[in-house]
Amino acid sequence: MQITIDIDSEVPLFSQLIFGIKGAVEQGAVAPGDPLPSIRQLANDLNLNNKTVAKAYQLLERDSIIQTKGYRGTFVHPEAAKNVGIDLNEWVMSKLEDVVARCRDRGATDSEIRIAFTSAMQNSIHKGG
Amino acid sequence: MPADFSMTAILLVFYLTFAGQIYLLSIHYPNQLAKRVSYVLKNYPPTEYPKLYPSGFTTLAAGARAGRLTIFRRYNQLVALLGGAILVAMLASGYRPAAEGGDEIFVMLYFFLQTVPFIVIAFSEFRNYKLMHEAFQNTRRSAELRPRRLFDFVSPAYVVAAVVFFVAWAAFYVSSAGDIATWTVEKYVTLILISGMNLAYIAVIWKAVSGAKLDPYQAYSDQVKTIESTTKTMVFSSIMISLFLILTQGADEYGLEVFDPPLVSFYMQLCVVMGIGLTMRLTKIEDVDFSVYRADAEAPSPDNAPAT
Repeated sequence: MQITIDIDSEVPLFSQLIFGIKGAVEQGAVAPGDPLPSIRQLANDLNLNNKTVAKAYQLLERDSIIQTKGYRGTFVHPEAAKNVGIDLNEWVMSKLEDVVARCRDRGATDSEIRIAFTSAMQNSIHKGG
Repeated sequence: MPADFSMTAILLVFYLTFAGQIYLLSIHYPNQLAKRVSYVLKNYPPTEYPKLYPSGFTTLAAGARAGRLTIFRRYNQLVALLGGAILVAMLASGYRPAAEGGDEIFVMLYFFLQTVPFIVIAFSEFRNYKLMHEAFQNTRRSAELRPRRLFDFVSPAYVVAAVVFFVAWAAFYVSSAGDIATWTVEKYVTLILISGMNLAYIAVIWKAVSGAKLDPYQAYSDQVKTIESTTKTMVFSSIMISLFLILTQGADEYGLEVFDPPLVSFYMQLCVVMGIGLTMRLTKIEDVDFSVYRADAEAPSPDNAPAT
C-alpha cells in the first residue's frame, strides 16, 4: 500500500498525507491495528520535513484514525474505519455558522461577534480549555 | 614456530589463501563489476535513460566511452599479475613467514592496492547520487505505508550473533590484557576503536532502514534490496571483525603468530565476499527496475503505482 503526494499541488502537504492515509483506511488497504511507518521514515521516503509528517500524524491521532503506542510505533486506530468519515473541520464550521446565524438573528453586529469570539477563545485558554 | 605445524603446512595455507585473495579481488569481482557496467551501458544508454546519468555520464559510464572501463580492467589485471609475481618470488626465494608475526603488513598493503579501484567507484557512486538528487524534479512522490524494521532485512539470529561475538571479544580482550591499572594507551584505543566501529555499523543500519534513499528515482523493490544488502553487510562485518580479533588475539596468546598473514588475508577476503559479493548477489542487475530512469518516467514507477 502506497501513499502519493504532489508537492506542486495547492493542497497543503500535511492535508495530502491525511487524505492519503484516510483513503487507505476507507479502501481497506490498511486495517485496524496495522503498523504505519515512523514519522522519520515517511518524511525521508517522501522527501518532506519531519514536522510536516508529524503534523499530519498529530491531526490523524486527534481524529482517532491512528494511535501512537510509545516506542512500539504508530498503528491504525481500532475505530479508524468508523472515524474516517468524520471531518472535524467541517463539524466545527457548521457549529460556528449556526452560532453566528443565531447571534445575527438576535441583532449582534459582525464586529461584536468577532470581539466576543476572540474573548471566548481567550477565556477558554485562561481556563485551560 | 609451534612444533605441531610443519613449515610446509604453514606455507601451503598461506599460498592458497594469498592466491585466493589475488583471484577474488583482482580477477573475479572486477570482472563481475565490469560485466554489470557493460550490461547497463549496453541495455540502458544515456540517450534513453538520462536520469541514470545526471551529469551526462557517471565515472564508469563515461569510462566505457573514454576508455576508463578499460583502465579499470587493466589496473586489476596488473595488480593480479603483481600478486602472481609476488607468489612466484616467494616460492623461488624460499620465503618463510616470521615466527613472531608481522608479515601480514605485506598482505594488507597488497589488499590496499587491490581495493583502490573499488574505493574510486564508491566515491564516484556517491557523487552520482548527489547529482541525481540535484537533478530530481518529480513533483509526485510515493512512499510505502508500512514500517521498515531491522528484522525485515536481517535475521534476529545474526544480530544476536553479532552482539554475542562483540561481547565475547571484549571479555577476551579485557581478561587477557591483565590488570587494568597496567593498561597502555594502545589497549584503550583498541577497545574504543572497535566499539566505535560497531556503533558506526549501527548508525549505517539505522540510516539505511529509515533514512532517505540515496537514489531518488529508485523503485521501492530495489530500495528494499539495497537496505537488505546494507544491513546484512554491516551485521556480518561486525561478526567477522569480532571473530577475526578473537582469532588473532588467540594466535598471539598461543604463539601462533606465524598464521597471521593467511588469517589477515582470509579475513579481508571474507569482508569483500560479505560486502561486494553479497550486494551483487542480492541486487542482480537483470532484476533492477531501470524504467524509473527513462526520460518520460514519472514518479511513481510502474512497480510502485499509488493505490490511493
